[in-house]
Amino acid sequence: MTIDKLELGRPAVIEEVGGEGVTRTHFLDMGLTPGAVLKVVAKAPMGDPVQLLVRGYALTLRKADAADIKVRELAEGESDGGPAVPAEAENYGRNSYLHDHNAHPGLGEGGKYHSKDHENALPKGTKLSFALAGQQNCGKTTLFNVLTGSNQHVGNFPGVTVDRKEGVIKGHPDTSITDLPGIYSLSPYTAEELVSREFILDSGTKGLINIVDASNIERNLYLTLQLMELGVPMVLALNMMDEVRGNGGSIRINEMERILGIPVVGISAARNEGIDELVEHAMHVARYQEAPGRNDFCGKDDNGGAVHRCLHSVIHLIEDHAATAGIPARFAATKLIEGDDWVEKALALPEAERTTIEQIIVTMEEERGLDRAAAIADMRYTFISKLCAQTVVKPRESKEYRRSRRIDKALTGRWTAIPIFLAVMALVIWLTIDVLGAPLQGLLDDGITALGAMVGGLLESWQVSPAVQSLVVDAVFGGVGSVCSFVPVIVILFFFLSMLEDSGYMARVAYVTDSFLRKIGLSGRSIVPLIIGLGCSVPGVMASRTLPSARDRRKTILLTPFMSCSAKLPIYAFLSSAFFPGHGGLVLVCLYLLSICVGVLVALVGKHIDGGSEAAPFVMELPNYRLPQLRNVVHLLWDKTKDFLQKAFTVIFVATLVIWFLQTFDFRFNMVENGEGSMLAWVAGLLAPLFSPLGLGDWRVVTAFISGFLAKESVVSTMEVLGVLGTLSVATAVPMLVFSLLYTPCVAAIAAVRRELGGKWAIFVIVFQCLVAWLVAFGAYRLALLVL
Amino acid sequence: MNAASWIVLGVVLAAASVALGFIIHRRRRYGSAACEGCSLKNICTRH
Repeated sequence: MTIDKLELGRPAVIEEVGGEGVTRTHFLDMGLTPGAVLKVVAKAPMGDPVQLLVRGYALTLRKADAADIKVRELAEGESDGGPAVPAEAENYGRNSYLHDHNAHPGLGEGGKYHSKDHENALPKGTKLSFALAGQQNCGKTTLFNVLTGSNQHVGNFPGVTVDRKEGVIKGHPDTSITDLPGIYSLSPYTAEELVSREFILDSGTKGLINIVDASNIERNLYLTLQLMELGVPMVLALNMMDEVRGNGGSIRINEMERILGIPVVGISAARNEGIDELVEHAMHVARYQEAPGRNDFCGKDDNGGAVHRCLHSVIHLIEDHAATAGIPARFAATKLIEGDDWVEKALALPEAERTTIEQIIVTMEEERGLDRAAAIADMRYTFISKLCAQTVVKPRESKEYRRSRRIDKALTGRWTAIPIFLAVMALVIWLTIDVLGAPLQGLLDDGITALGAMVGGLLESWQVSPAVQSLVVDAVFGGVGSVCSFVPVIVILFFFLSMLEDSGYMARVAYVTDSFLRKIGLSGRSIVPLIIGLGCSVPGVMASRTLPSARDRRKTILLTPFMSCSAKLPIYAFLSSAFFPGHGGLVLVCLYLLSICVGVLVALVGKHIDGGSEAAPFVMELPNYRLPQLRNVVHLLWDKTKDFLQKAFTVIFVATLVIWFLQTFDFRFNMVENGEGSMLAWVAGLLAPLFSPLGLGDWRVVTAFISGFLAKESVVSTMEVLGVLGTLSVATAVPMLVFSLLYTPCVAAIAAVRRELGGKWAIFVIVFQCLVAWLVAFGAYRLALLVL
Repeated sequence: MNAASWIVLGVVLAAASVALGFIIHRRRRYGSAACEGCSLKNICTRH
């Protein structure tokens, strides 16, 4: 039988992993290997995807993908402890003198443990560069913040930490540390995995700090083994040791260090425990270039030794090529056997050797009874199982996991998940705009207006010329000031979005919406960039990088600008308060619903053009729910406020001055009255006829739209400076709102699209969105004329 | 225009120059607005 037919709660053992290509490799990397024990613990509202418990963690999988994995239900009384571990645990003695397994191996330490005979110290003064590597959601950014003293945003969603991450280890100015994106393995499944391994291999990093989630150690060590194969000096940091201990588990660290041949340090990044020791060891292995003492994980007696023989044969065959290519031979050999194209190209093997290697691999497959990718993954997990059998006392089911399961009964329940999701989003918008945002925004606006009036009075008393007075009062206070008053609304929206992400709810949203999103040709993971797009399109477009399929990525990027970003909120609030007083919330909900409907329609058309090809597999880990850390949230809000004010006083300030200048003077630099006859009126007048069918044929409206291309917040400041409100009516405010909602995103978002998809797609986005916005605004205008 | 007008104009233009300089500095530092906030910024080989 296959996983999709497995009953809830029935344990089963994997017999065969089907599927193909990188997706299959990803299944294997995630621990879905033959022999692993799993059970289906939940199903999403529409019965798809399913949630599995495998190797001690929760993983989601679509039913279609689950149908590729053959399992056998465990009989009553049959062990569900995972793959068999030999009764006689192998003695992995790296250092034969260490007979006492409890003795401290002292790897990566000075004093009596450091032998000067074999040291390979870097010259004094060499900058020690480290890479921080680990799987997604294992506390990597928390550790980075502790190590560097910085305040990068920490999320609780696999792979969506979008921050610039490079720093200096506190107290060690001659070091640098780069936080690599969270990756599950060094297979080229996602762009991040490929980029991370290129970074480790090519950047000349002097040491690696590998952080693993000790409460989910089996799957986390899978990446550790691959990193060790790279031969770069490294330290293993066992994070969340406090949770392991709290749940009755423990890890024999000395024993693990002896078996792996690298320093192992137990830490709790969140509680700042064990950090000094970790830094000390990392500095030591990097300074003395102490490479891992083990990079061989295939036992010669494991399952007949077929993988061992194959791997070592290939290593010997490619040794010279690997040295020329600058890739560690062991790493190159395993990747070559797995069928990694990048490594194969880099090695540039002659035809004869390629044929020989292929024969060796085919022989191994026959002897082992598994295909190449499964055999290598199985080899690693077999080693990990033995290692854990010797060194890990597994914690009982953690209270964090039990709590998450209880919460999930409601938040991902069959009948409750979608209503709760819709209610949460509606609540976020309502609280942001009506309850909290509006009063604070009004207060700030009153303050800025009063300040503007005071400065205006002062300039009047100094008999400053009317042109300069207009520059200060209309452009600076009217334009930039009105934008600044929206700071509270934007900060509150980001506060709620960060709460959703930090708590772990965002991952559940991806899980429960996958089935619906698949119907419009997207993946559940697409929901995250789309929701982030409600805050700002730029990180939304960036977050799409975590999508493994290029097709999903492209579609998600193209749809993200349809999500109304927070910078457009001032436009809605400005027009609503003028034309629909007291109904701001309703207007906003209608606009958001409209943008979602248009986005869905566009996605459906896109799916039709694509030929309805199936979306890429949805394989995702569901993190435990956590309470967002106050410090983390405060820092995020400060960052967003800073970013917004920085934008207001740079881009928007300059744009406002330019617009003020163009609308205040004609081509002979004579000052004009109310903008009539100005340079801007002439330029915008050329485009105005295009907007006449929308009832927006006034040059001032067109100017506001043009300024919105620089930054959406500028639309309000331009409307304020040019007095656009006087040109609108209730009926024309509707197409104005709709066009603002849907037309081209700002230049920063377009630059993000260009970076991800190329210049042609960026131009396509500009033209396509303007076209869609025009059509929908035209329809809205006609409807408004009928109804209003 | 009197002296006060020139002083106020000078202050506004100086502020605009600082803002423009800041925008150019950020562009040079980060290459592109698109790279700001990207997790791969420091390691991406496409830069």
